[in-house]
Amino acid sequence: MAPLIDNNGEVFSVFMFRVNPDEIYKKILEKGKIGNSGKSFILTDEGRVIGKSRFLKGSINKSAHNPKLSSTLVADEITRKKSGSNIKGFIDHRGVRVAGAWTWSNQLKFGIASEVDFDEVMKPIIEFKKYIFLGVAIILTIVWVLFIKLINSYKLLALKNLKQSEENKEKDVKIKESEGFFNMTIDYIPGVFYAKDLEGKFLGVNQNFLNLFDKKLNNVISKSNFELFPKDIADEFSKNDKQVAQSKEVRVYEEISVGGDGLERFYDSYKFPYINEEGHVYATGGISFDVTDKKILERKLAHRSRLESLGEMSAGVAHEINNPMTIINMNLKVIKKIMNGKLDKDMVFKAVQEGEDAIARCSKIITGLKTFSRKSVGNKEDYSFTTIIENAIELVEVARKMTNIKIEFNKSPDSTINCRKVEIEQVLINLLQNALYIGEREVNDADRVIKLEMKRKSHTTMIRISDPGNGIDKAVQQKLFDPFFTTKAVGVGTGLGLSISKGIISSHGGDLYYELFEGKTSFVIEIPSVKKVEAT
Amino acid sequence: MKNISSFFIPPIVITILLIVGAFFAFSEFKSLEEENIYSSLKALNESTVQGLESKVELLKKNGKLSVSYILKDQDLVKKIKSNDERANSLINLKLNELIKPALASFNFEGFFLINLNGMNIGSTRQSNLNKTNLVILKDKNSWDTVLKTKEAVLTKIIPSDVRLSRNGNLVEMAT
Repeated sequence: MAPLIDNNGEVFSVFMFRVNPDEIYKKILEKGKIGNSGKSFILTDEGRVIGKSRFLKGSINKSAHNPKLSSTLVADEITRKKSGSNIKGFIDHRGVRVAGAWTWSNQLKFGIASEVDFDEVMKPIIEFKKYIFLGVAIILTIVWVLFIKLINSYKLLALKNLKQSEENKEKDVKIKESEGFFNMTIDYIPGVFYAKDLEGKFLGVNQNFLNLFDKKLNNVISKSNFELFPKDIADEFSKNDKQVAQSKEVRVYEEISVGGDGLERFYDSYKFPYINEEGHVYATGGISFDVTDKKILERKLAHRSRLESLGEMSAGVAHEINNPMTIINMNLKVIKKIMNGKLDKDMVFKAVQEGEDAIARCSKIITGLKTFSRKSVGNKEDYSFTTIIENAIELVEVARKMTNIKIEFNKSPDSTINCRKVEIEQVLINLLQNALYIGEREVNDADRVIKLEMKRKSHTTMIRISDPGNGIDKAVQQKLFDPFFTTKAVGVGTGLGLSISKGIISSHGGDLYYELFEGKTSFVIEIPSVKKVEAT
Repeated sequence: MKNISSFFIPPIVITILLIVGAFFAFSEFKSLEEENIYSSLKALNESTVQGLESKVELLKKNGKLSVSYILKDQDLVKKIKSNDERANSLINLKLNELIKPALASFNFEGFFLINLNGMNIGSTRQSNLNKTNLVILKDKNSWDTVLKTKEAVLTKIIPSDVRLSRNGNLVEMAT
């Protein structure tokens, strides 16, 4: 609209021409485009779209309002002559979500809007979102897979540990049960149990030990022999413990101790070493049985037996002493005659010499009797078994001569035994006397031989004494070692010899028994031999 | 099994960190992308407006140029100023003849010459003569502005009641 102005400057008419905005703005609007779906278009203040749009088929003056939809955001805004933008998305005329910007121009008297499909504009964001989601999903999958694997491993480990723990618990229970059984067993043993370290300090004892010595456990554990017993007894215990530790084997000792009542008591102590896997002794233990009553009885019986043996031998002894005495008497008479007459120096020397021999013989017999009749007291010591046997043979020599029976001693390599020598000699003498008694009654001189055969075994030494007898009835065999059982004539034997002998050998950890050997009556003594222990 | 619960902490923490991290990364990317879209749309819009404004300025110049053709014809100016309704047909014929080249060269689809009473004294269509101009009725502001400022103005876009046919680049006069 342009005014026609005259020379006076007055408007006298107005020229107005009409253009088609669709055509004249077309090129400009076509340039204003984003992406494939982008479009710029003109909107009147009535909200009408000018120009052909991609979504409005037709020409100008088409309503921007989709008749089927409510007014669009852009149409509303332009109607109010406002400018703005929305990139969050809004619904356009087609019902499609778009992002757009619009400007109202007062100069142009219409609005310009540029829109682009939201899907297109959001494509990079959606793609990015997709990749982000995918990346996160992959990482999380890896993390959780690893985690689940870790958990499974942990569970397996935990289950294994649990199983192990349960097994350990079960083992602990079994060990406790075992300990319970063991402790109960130890407590019920009719003897005193103890375990000590190599310094002699107590590691454990049973109830009998505590009762016997009237002590409490905490007053015993970690205490040494010397803190619990008198010095001489402690010395003996320590010496025996040391021997066991050095020998690395079970040994039997006869020990004496003083109980809580202050009385002296005798014990058969079975002592043993505790050896670890490397073969080193790390402690010693022992079980001691109170044999005081038995010991007293044995002593009484042994003494009585000794006296009986002494009585039996007295006749022979008297005869034996009588002979040298006769010799001495005769020689003294010879000397007396010589002193009254002619003095023959050689005859005097001979008479004196014979007298001295006779006195020496008497002295020897008396010494042997004294030894035999002495009560067995004291501790065991190591002795040569051969020597003991020879001593015993020597002691029955008088009786042997009277019976004219041979004694054959078949020696083997010597062996050392830990014993009370007198007691072992007594046993041997008893057996030899019995053999002589049997042999004396044999008619056949060829059989009047007593054979002694000695043999060394792995842990023991054996001596078999075979008499000329042809064996013993079974009924008699069963009673052989019963006290006061005898097959001798009344007044000849007391029936105590074998029972005492068996008791003595038993007290030495050995055995005495009867056997028929090569058709002959035989008694066998087996007694533990002492191993030569090298110092460790 | 109590300790197993402690195993859940690292993966749960990693999961949370990843999700939160992804969320922030996505938000940041989305913000940047939206900012980019906003800038693009705004720049596009502004450049389009500028382009259109330039175009409008050109249209105004073309209008003024057309007016200058009319003003050169003093006889015609006299007749226009005479406000004689009977001369309107002659004026219209003269105008159509005079404006015809401009219409073709400026892509005008039609024209009106309006007296100060708002009556059409010239038009591409003969039937519009001596009738009140429809544009003035619909865009009184532009009319007032022209008279007041004595400058060429752009009217509102007003739907046409008729579409003129074209023959080549020439607008046929409606019969």
